[in-house]
Amino acid sequence: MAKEISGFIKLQIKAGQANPSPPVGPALGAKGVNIMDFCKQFNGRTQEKQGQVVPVVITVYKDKSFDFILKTPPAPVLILEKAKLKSGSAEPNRTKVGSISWDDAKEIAEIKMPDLNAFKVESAMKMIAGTARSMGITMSGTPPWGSAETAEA
Amino acid sequence: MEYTRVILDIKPEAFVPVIVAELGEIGFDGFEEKESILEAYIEKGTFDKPLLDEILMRYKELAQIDLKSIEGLENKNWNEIWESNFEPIFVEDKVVVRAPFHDKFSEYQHNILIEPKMSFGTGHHETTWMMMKEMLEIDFKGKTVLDFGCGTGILAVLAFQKEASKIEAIDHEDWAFQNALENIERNGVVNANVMQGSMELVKGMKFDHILANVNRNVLIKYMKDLSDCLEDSGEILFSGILEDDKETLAKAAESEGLYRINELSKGKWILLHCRKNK
Repeated sequence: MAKEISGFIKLQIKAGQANPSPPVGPALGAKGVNIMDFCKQFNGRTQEKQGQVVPVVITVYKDKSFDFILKTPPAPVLILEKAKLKSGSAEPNRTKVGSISWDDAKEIAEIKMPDLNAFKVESAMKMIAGTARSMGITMSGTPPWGSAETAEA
Repeated sequence: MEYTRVILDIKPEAFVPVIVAELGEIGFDGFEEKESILEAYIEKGTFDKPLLDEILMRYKELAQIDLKSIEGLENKNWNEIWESNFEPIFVEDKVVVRAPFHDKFSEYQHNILIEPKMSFGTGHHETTWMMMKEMLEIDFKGKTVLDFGCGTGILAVLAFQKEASKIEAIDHEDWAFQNALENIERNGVVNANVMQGSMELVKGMKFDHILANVNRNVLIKYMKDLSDCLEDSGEILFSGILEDDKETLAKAAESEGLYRINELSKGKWILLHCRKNK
C-alpha cells in the first residue's frame, strides 16, 4: 500500500553541504523528519556538484519517513555563472550587466532539458534567452537559427 | 551559527528562481519555496541589507516583490521533534542504541545511550549501523582508537564498551563536539578525549584502529593523514560511501597502503574494512 503523504517541501540548498541549519532544519524538523538522515542522503547523492545550489523536492509521509527528488540547477543560477557575475566580484552591485553567448544558452538548455517544458533544444534555448533578458543579461552573437528570430526569442 | 531569514512575496512566480540566483550572489545559501513566497536564508554576519535593496530595486519594474519580513533565527535544535520519540536501534543481538527515555534492554551486551541533539550517529542510518556491526567483529581490547567525524560519539562509546584502551574522538561541527562530550559522559566513558577540529589535532599520533564514518569527499581528502595515523597492520573502517563510489574509495585507500579485508553493504551504502600494509 502506498504511504500516506503529509506534504511536500521545496528547497534549494548547496550540493554536498546540507546541514541541520536553516532552511533544512526548520523546514524538515517541524514535520518530525530526522534531519540528520536527510542531510546524509542528500549530501551523498549530490557530492559531485559540491557547492552548487540544487533544487530538491522532498515528500514527507505521515509516518515521518521521506523521499526526495533532485532537480537541475535553476536556469538563472546557470546564466549568472556564465555571465561571470559570481559573488565576490569587485562589484556585486552591478549596474552594468553582462552577456552570454548562444553557445552558453545551448549548454544551459541541455542541462535544463529534463526539467523544462520543451521538446527541442532550440525552444529551450529561447526560454533561457528570455530568462537572461529579464535579468538584464543580453545575448551576444546570432542564434544558430539565424538573426530573424532573435527579437522574439 | 545564527541565521537571518528574509521572506519575499514574488509575482509572477516565474521570477522566484531569478531572485534565488541573485540572492545566491550576495551570500544567501538556502531557500524554501512556497508558491510565490520565497524564504531566503543567510548567515547573520554575511547579511547586507543595501545589497538586498539593490536587487529588489533592479527588478521593481519587471516583477512585484514584497519584502514581508527580515528576522533573526535563534540557534536551536531543529531536530528535537524527531529526537523526542525515536525508536531504539538494534545491531545483531548485541547492541541497542536508545534514548534515556527508553527502558534498558538488559539482555543486550551493549546498551548505548544517545541524545543526538542535531548530531549524526544514532544507528538509524545504514552507515552508522554497519560501523557498529563491523566493530562487533573486531577485538578492541587494549587498543587505541581514533573516531574521525565522531558526531554523537556513538562509536567511541561502543569502542569503550569493547574495552579499547584510549579513544580520541574528533569532529569539526560545534553541535557534534558538544553533543559527543555529553554522550561520552552519559555512558560513563572514562578514556575518550573529545576534540573539535580535524586531522591536524592528531598529527603525529598513532592508532591501532580508526573509525571513519564521514563521506567520500572527506575520506579521500584525508586519506594520507588517516593512513599516517594508523599503526602498521592497524585497521580502518570507512563508511558514508555510496555503492557507486566503492572502487574509487578502495583505490584511494590502496594508494596509501590501506588494503581491503572486508566489506558490508546495506541499502545503497557500503562499508570498507581495510588493513595497513599487506
